[in-house]
Amino acid sequence: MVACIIVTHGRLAEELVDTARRVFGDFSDCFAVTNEGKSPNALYEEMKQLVDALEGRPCIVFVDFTGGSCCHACMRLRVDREDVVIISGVNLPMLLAFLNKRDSVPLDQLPEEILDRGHKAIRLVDPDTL
Amino acid sequence: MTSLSLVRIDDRLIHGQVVLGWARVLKPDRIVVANDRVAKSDWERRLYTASVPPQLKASFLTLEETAAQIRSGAFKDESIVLLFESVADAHGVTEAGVHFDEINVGGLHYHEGARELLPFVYVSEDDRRLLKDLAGKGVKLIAQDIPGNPAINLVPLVVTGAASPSAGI
Repeated sequence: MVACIIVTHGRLAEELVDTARRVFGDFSDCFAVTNEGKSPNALYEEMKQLVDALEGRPCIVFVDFTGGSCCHACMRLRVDREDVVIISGVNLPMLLAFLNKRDSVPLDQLPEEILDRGHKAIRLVDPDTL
Repeated sequence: MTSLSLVRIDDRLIHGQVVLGWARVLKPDRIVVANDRVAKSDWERRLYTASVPPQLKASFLTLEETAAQIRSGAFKDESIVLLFESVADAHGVTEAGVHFDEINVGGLHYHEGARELLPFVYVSEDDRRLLKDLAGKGVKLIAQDIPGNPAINLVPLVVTGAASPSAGI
């Protein structure tokens, strides 16, 4: 099964996982990480340990936005582990798409499908055109 | 003369609090990262450059270059945010003949042997010694993570080495 790590500022990662459980039901292999109170190195080490503990199983890392210390740690991780896919701008529809599709969509197509779902989820909501 | 709108010690260097918090309020022309390791590493420079908003220029300088350029007024007429990763780096640049009116210790997270002064400021004995030295040279030391939060005078905390009573906030 493809695992995921969500790394964000504040409690966003933890709350995304919690909220996804309320919508999707229970799931495993999804880890929430915050940068709160952590040095760049501590954050990187925490993520690296999570990835290492997967022992080579595929993993997608979600991060809140590019340019922050969370994304910085992701990019450092990517330098060591080119197989890890990193996706920024995580939102709830993206996480739900990941959970829905991780068992059925081939790994090489999974990131695109998640991005597509995320892009389509962001729109003006107008009752006339929905 | 170079206008240093913010001199900050932050182990994350360029990150959200700096580009979204400080740069939005101070509207600097340039971010200068003073760090020997980053200045000499292609990929680390690329990594930090990716965090810089398009309207901002960025320079990655060694500590020696930083001191030399500030002394020679290289960033004349620009408003600068100057970032150091550690107390030792900031102190080193002052030793090289640069005076800072104020240094904001905006983020020093737990590191080996460090004690908490504030939730976002942990200092080792070496850090304390160097901060006291800076204070003795007339550098105002404050701790302020983002512009909307109060600027805490760091000097009494550095002198006593005790955590602030308000450290829990």
